[in-house]
Amino acid sequence: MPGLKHLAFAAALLAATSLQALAQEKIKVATEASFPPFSKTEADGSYSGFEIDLGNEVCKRAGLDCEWVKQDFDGMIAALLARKYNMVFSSMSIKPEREKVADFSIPYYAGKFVFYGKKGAFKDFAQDIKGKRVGVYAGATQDQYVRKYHAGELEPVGYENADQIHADLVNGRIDLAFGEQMPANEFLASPAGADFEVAGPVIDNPEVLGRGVGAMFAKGDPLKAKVDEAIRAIYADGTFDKIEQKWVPGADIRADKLWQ
Amino acid sequence: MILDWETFLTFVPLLVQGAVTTIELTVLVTIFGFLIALPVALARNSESRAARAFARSFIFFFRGAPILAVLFLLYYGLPQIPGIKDSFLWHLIARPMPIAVLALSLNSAGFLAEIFALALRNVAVGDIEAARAFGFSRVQTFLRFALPGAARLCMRPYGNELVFVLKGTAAVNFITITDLIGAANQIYFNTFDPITPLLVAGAIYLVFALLIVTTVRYMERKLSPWLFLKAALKEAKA
Repeated sequence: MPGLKHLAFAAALLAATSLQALAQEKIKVATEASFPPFSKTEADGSYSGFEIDLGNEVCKRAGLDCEWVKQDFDGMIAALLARKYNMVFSSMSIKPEREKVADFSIPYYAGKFVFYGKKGAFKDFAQDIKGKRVGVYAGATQDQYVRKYHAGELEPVGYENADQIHADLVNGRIDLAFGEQMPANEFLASPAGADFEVAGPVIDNPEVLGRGVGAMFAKGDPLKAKVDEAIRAIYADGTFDKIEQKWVPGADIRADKLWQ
Repeated sequence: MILDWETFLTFVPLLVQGAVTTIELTVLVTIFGFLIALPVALARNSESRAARAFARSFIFFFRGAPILAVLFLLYYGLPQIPGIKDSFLWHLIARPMPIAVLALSLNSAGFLAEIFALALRNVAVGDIEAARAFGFSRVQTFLRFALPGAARLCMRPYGNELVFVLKGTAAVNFITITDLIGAANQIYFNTFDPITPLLVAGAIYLVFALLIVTTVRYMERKLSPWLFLKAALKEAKA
């Protein structure tokens, strides 16, 4: 009886998959998925990028069955606190006010920040930015930096994601954008960014811009220990360098110097 | 996590700013929505086939298209038109506010035109015939009889539409304008407390809606006092 054979095979398969599911803890992980090269959404709806590869590696080593969830950056922490997912793995800078409400892993990368605008328009940075409009993520770290260090000379305009900032930069609604160096370089290297360049100095300011980027968890979540261990292992055996080389060739965004 | 009032107070200026933006938008959209809707309503009732077809398509499109789609299309689409950045129009569309007013007014006009057209069609034929018989010109008849008659008929649905306009303004968040709900959201994202800011914003919206409803009711009373005769008599007796 071939039918019975099939049934037995299906049952065995079912048992195997449920056993595997038992062994792996199922969690949901938030990504912005529109912050290349760290995370982006492909045309077919799948996610890719530095953080997606690194996150998948972390999940594999920590024995986690991870499902990526797309979430706009501005509501990311609020949704974590509302338990919409277990972990944020999305360029979230480690900052004191955020540590009050949630736990961070050790930093897994550390980027710097840059302003960028029309080629040649910001030769004398301190003078040329006066009265200009700068696109930032609404309410995010960069927004606070501009409000603190360029109050009265730069007007911050808040956006939901980098694509919108770049669209308005190209359209001329804003004169500058301020954001992480790697995504900025990605934009500047694209055809849309051909008329733009980095303006002023590269900025590294732990006080406002954070001590690197970490995974974020609800307070007291035991996931943190597992993820920390996985990150250390990924750094130790050279896997981090491989992923770095694949997505941000030539850049150094290692964060192990920040580990205490 | 519920916010303590001390922390909340530091965000009050942001909330006030947002509320002012919401009022500005509601007032501007009310004015421009009306100005766009009236000619479309007239075209809708016109004897010309072409005018009727235009009005029908206008209503079909702007009543049916989602506000967000129209907003994005105008905000990100208009700058793509070649040469527009060098024309005087660019001053208008470089900032998000005029685009928000335009998109929301078109959307509101889609609903209003249908309300106005129906009210104009339903003005008592006898009133119009009497006015014409007394020698009023067509224009006079329209301005002094048809319009007030229609206003009486459409006051209630018009009030409803204004409340929708108020709530619809929240969509402008998506093109970088911080209105009342945008301010509440920013407080939420910075303090991680959704309850306090959204409850406060909700209460402010309720007050605004109450203001609209009260104004519309007052106007209805002025336009059709006989509808309120019983109540007025009772008040007079008491």
